[in-house]
Amino acid sequence: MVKDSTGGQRALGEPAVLGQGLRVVGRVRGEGDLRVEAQVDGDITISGQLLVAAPARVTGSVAAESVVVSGLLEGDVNASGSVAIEAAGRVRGDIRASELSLEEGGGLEGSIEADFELPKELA
Amino acid sequence: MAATVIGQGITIEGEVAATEDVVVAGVVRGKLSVDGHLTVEADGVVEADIGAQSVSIGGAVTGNVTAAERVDLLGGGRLIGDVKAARLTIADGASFKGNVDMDV
Amino acid sequence: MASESSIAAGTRITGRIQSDGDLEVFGHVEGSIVAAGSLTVGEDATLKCDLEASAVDISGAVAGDVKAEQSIVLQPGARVQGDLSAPSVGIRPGALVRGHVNAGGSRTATPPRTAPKQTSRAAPAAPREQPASSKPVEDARGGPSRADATKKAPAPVMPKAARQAKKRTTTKRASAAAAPEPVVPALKKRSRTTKTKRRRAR
Repeated sequence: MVKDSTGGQRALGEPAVLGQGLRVVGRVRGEGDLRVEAQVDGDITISGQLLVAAPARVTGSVAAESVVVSGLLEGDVNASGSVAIEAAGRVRGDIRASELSLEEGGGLEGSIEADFELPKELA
Repeated sequence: MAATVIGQGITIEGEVAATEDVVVAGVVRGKLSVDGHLTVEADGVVEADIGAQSVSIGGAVTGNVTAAERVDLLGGGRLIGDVKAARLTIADGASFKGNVDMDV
Repeated sequence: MASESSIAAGTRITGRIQSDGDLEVFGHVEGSIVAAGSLTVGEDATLKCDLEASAVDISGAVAGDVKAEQSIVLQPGARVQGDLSAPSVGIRPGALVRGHVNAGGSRTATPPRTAPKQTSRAAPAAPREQPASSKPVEDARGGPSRADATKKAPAPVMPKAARQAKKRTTTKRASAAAAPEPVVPALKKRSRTTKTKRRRAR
């Protein structure tokens, strides 16, 4: 189940897959969901959910409705919905999302931008 | 709601203002205001002016103590400072150096 | 040794708090908190201070940087504006963060960059992994796999002889392509043409 930008949940559809042995150099674009297990040097922009699953190594920015990382990602993440970094995931880059979760054990080095207000005592 | 407990390993330097009871077994330096009961335990060290409803001192306090109701200086307690309270007791074994004003 | 310490909900503290043990904060603190043990920030707590502890668990609101020796956990209701730095950082869904995060990740997991296969892209990227800001993961990332890398990636520290050789023989070449070539005295004595031939061949 993944969360989209409206906060609704939907089951993961049949994703396209960039399999393990692949090496992609260049931009990746698409509609729908994408599961990346390959080495990608370039930006990835899709309209659905992006899974960067081990042993993937993505070097480039990614933009999707929602992103789940359990592989390696070096680049910024832009999601209208949620971003989840699992324990095996490693992300180096800035993250923009409506919701972020980081599992203990997961690696993250970058800035997080969330739009929220602190209570007035902390203004 | 629970009391604030400043345990033995804690040191606070600054101002503390509580709306509930406070127990000090650590160190407080600065200012201490308690809208309730303040207990300074045997290991407690307070170097601050104190304002509270009532105060029990079993540790070391250096500073002026103002209490709406009462101040009890227990055996083993040490107080260097002036006391302003409606009631005051100083137990056997306690040390005290300062002025007392019970005309609250 | 330190008894359970707790700053109750209605308590406001302005100043520095130091604990040689654990501490729970449910009230309002402005200043700084340093705890040798674990620091727990309750749901309604409002902290306008930098936090430093062995482990930090946040359910409330914090405006300040958070640094932990072991772990930082942001619970679902947490709101944090500041930088987070710890070997392990957990952000539960629902926690809100605004700032820089430096979470090392588990040291037993695969280091994120082993010897990269291509060179031109690796050159700008690889040196970035060495600066002090990645302190917690230095040994995870700069592990033996990188020092062993032959012509594929620059070693983190090149032996002095190799550095001198590099200066002499490579000027325009990107550092990644110039392998840490050990200087063999016998080779140095060869004629110039041989050296040039070798360089061109690379």
